[in-house]
Amino acid sequence: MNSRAASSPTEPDQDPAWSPAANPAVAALLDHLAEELAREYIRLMEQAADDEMAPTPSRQER
Amino acid sequence: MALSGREWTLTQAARLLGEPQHRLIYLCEKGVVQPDLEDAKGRGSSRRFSARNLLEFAVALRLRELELPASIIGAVTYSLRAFERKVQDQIRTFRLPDSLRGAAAPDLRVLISDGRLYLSLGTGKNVPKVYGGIELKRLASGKASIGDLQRALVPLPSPKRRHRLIPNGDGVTAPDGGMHARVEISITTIAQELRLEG
Repeated sequence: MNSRAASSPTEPDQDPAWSPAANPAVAALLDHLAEELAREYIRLMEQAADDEMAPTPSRQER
Repeated sequence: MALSGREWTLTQAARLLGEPQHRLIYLCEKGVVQPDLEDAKGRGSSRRFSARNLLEFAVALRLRELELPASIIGAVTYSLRAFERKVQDQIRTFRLPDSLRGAAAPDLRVLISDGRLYLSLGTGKNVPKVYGGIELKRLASGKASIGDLQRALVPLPSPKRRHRLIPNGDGVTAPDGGMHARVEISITTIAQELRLEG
């Protein structure tokens, strides 16, 4: 961890804070990004469930 | 948003993460991590953190090591929260970090390449899909464009690797001394490494 992880109390803080309320356009953009990621996550989970249910050669033999 | 029932004080969170408390306080004050259970408001109140908060701290601290500003790290943690909410619309049991801690959990990554922020998701079987491409300058200034929105909605090819990645996947420095030619961290790995038990 470097020394920049927190600013010194004696120096002015140059690091702007994050506020979705102050940045509504950015927040909307990140919401869209999260929506797409969520869709992909759900698709991957469904795919994993389908793969688990698919008959394996050993199951078919039985 | 429902919590998993576990909570940590600032002292406990700092101990668990192996970080001094003032770093965690700094991240709270910068809006990067919003305590899920109780925020410090006036005298005598205290911050209490959820497991999701601990993941946010761990991700934020990793990104701070790479000297990213709080505004950009806050955008990453905001995206994680939004991602959790949106998955929960379909899968009510989905929780961060728990749902990323299973052995078969998809690999969720933050990538910063050529001054742009991306998030990617994939499994061992699939080529990861990459989303985003938002200019860091715009994130830091709070200005987003239609082009940014369009990029965020379309999966992209993985950003071209201009420089070799360090094996732990944390990032690289460009030969000219510039920062973050490409930075990549796995949120899934961070979630799996969190020592939440005990």
